[in-house]
Amino acid sequence: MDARKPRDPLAELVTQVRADKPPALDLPKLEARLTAELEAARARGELQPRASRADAARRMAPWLAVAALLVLGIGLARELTSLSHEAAPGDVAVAARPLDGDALAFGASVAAGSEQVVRVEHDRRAAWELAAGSGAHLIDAGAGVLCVELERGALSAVVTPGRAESFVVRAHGTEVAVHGTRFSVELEGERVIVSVSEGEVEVRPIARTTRVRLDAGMRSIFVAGVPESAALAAPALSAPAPEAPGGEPATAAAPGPRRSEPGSPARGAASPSRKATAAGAAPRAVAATPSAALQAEGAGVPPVPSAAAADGEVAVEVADAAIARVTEHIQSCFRRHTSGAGPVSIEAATRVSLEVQPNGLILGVSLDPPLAPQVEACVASELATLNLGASASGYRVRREIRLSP
Amino acid sequence: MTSAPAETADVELVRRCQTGDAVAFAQLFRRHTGLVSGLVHRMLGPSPDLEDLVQEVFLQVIRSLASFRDEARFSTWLYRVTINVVLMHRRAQGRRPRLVEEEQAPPTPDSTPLGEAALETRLRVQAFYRLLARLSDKKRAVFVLHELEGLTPARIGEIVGAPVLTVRTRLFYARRELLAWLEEEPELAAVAAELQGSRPPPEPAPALGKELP
Repeated sequence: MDARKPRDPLAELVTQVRADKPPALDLPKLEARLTAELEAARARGELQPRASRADAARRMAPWLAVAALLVLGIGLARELTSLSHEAAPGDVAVAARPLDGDALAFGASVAAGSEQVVRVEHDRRAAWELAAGSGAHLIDAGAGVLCVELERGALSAVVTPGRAESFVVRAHGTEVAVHGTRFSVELEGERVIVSVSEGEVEVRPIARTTRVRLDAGMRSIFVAGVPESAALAAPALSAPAPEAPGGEPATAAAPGPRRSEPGSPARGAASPSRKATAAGAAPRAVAATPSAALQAEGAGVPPVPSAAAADGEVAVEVADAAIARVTEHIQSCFRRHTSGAGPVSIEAATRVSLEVQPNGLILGVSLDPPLAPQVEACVASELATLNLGASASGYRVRREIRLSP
Repeated sequence: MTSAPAETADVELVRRCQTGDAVAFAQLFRRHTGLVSGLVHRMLGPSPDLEDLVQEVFLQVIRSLASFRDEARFSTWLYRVTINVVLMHRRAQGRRPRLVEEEQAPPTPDSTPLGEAALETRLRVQAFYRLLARLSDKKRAVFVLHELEGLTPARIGEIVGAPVLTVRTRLFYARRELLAWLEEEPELAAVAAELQGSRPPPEPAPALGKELP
């Protein structure tokens, strides 16, 4: 080495990093999964280069191609119209047999009559059902993603676990990306209600970057992809989810690899993706706040439509005072149930969303991101009896708060 | 870097994969798993998501087999897919709710007993990955591909879809930022001190083109 030339410390670091090897992978398992996926893609006809498919299409006689399209269209029309003949008057009927989703072209619309439920199956990938009076159409989202846009009504789906975001539902500017789950999406005007019974979904505005993750047991309302509130629902959903493709109910355990959760938080700290458990929540809180974020698990209280929540206006001073009082209790619970190891000092930031009834009692409260279960259980208990003062029509308020030891 | 015969073999394997040949895919997978896992590891640092991401890369390969054109080198294409998968993963990770304290948590040391020198090296490597994570996606990609993967700027330009001058400009700024951040990592303080004592002559910045990093 030339002694006159200064050494480059960065180069020496790079040399050490180059020598750092990644951990060994379970290659046989990976290879087996990928080979299965290759076979599935071959069966779907997705492997051939587009040029080859174009050549094959050109070789077909044009009148045969037109005839094939006509047959498909007539068959599809018969499939949809036959449903109304099978439905008994006054009853909601399920289609005699599900539609083959893989045979539907992008842009194809599926509509369920006022007394029908339509089921669409995509071989080994997903099955979705349109509630009576609902409508949706397929979108080409590219990269093998199955995308359904809900135009009206409600849709519930079961997606085969294994491939993250292989199935996406869009509705009114909100996008629900599935990670192997059972879930439902319902339109109420501009509000999109997403409920997850198994697995998890990510919900986000279409073509934007912010997103919210919902786990099993969670139900949340979105407007244009932004959460209106992040309320935890009672376990029961309003509509049963359809069976998984193949007739077997999907299990929560995914056979494919699971995305790792973020590293374990410090003891007592908040856990972004866990449901709050409130074993010690006061019964009054459960009865008075059926859609509250901090609800006793398994209490069996049916969900209250969010339209019942207070929606009035209130003076800023009143809202500030309400938040201040609630924050005191949250801070107190945070300090009591959070402790860092050694010199570590734990802080947290969360957004409090409050719904206050006209009588001053709290209808619902949510924390986004959620805090640790024991902190939330404490908060649920303390807020159950808190009265923030009467108002003309109740109100809703949201604030970012920081919690410190 | 793959040689011409190897590239020819790759193209042939891809053609066979396009017919659903599982044996060909297995060969392709075994041949390139090291490249993919190494690149993911260097782009992300130590991560529990490594296996998931390697799988995702090859899933993307399967899904995109129909769009692979023979005129593109398979390894170039694979590099591009890998970087895209990693960047998408980082963006998704960055948008999950995080606690303030998670950002500040120190890395958990491995339980395997190490000699002092080896431990020091490991901590320095971990610290360097933390610095790499602070670079923008574009700068990190070119830095990793050039400094850690050993690719030329021309080859990197093919992978990231940028002119060679842009690649060199991003490299310049990436190095400059990393050098400036060295002092902020305790494990790299010695390196920073050494830098103070023997600072290399400043590199001339390449003439900037239209596109800035």
